[in-house]
Amino acid sequence: MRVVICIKPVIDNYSTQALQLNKKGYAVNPYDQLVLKQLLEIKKKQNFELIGLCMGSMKCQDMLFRLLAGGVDSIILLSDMAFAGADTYATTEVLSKALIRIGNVDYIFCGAKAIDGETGQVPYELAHRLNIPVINNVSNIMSMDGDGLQLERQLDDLVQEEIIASPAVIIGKHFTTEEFTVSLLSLKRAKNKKMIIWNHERLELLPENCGIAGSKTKVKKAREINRFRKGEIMKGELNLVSQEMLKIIKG
Amino acid sequence: MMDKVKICVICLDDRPWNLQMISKAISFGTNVTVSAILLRSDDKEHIDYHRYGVSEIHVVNISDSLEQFALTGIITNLNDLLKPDLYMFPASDQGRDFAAEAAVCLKCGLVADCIDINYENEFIFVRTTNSDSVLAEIVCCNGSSAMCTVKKNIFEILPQQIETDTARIHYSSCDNRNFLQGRQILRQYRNTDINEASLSEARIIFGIGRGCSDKIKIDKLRKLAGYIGAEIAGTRAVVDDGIINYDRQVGQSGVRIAPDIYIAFGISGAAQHVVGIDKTKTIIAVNRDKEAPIFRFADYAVIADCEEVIDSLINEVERGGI
Repeated sequence: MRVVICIKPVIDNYSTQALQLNKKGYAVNPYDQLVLKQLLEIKKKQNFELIGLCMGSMKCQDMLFRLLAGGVDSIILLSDMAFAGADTYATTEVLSKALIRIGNVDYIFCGAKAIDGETGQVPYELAHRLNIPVINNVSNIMSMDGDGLQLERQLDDLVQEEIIASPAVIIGKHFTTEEFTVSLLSLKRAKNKKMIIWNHERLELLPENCGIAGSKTKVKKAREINRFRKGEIMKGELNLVSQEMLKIIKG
Repeated sequence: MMDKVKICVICLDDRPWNLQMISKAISFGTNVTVSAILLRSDDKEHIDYHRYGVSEIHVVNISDSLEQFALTGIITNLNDLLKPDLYMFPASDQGRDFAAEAAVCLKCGLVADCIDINYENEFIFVRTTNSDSVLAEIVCCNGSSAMCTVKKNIFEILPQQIETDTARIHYSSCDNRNFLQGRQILRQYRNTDINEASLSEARIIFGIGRGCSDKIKIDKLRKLAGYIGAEIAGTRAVVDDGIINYDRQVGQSGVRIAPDIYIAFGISGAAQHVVGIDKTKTIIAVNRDKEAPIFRFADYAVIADCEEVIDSLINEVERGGI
């Protein structure tokens, strides 16, 4: 069985843990991270091929080697200047071509959305480009064997367990800020695993159909929303600070 | 000034949401023609949309209440017929799916989760990104129509306008392709864990972050919460750690709260969390790290060890401080 997980690289400080460690660079989108974690958990018990598919800059490679070390079998990095600045339309143009090129894919897993752009449209557009069903709100992946994929969905207050025949696009629900720990040895071994890099030529795509040129939306303006408050520091002996806090609580 | 503009509103079975979209479409002025496409199996309650200013209603009969069906055939036909400048879809799971299908099939740009739409020679869509920390204006290009999904409860429903039954109603059927083949529902049950009421009604909420998540601190915090009458909530990180239930997670992917007082204990202040506490009247943040981002989003900053602060608060309350 062949399974692909789509991974969006996001700027690292979106995950709280990474924020604490003050790292720089790319991290796996936390919504994708949860699906990946569930897949790697099942992979310990059941045998299937797990391919990570990622569109992003060559600088994502460090992040991707960690995934290989964590148990992903191979990584395909779709990296090309022509892919930059893609909206959901241009993104799914490239991803769908890559998935067709990979071939014989049973299930395509995606996170519910990316923590930066937050459109949540890519998995649906991908499914429609590939003309296969899409299963959303998947809270847990239970097993994956010859009988198909068994999963749990959360639909408002209803929990539903289902078996899904292949092929299908599977969309997760929640996210996690937990990064998996990878040993130095497995990281070293991962360097021998396959990291495949495809550009537009390899996918037989015209540059004008990719990235910013192939996009059908463009951002006119963007500004930060200010949520800052006064942040008045409560100084002094702790018991006095506590009394002050209780006064505020009492209103 | 606006040229003749045609807007197509895709209506699913949430009547208020449909009317919110229709009202927004109508509000663009007299030069706009609004058509409603009703994608549903039971249409009776919805065919009065012309009273809200819709000039044409297209009812697409769906033989079964399938979760998914192929929209491509119907959308191509209706697009040829109506040639709309704008498609509006509800930003529900199903709306998102239909919008994606329409965007792929008509090769159009799609803007997700709009909170406003303006018109200046083209449609300008307003949406938030990065956990509601960025406001973006987006336009569609290189396509025959603009497309968007619209968030619920953003636009007001305008009162009924027309008293006559003048709307043209067209019926068509959908090329149902059963996507559910090879899919089997094993079991269904109600999730009894979900209980947001206690958080949405609470006047005081204590938020727990990774900096305050060990058992001793939690026990002390629960004791204090009992004294004061506070509810306990937390960040995604402590949900991951199994310390609190998912239904008590505050933030982008959890609950949004609006209490009078929120005290953040050991919370660093990631954007995803902060967006969930934005409507709080007074925020107090307790954190050892004076650089913690949470302090910028708080009204009051207590730079101290969480456990010491909790101990001191318990001490003051027990001394008769509250």
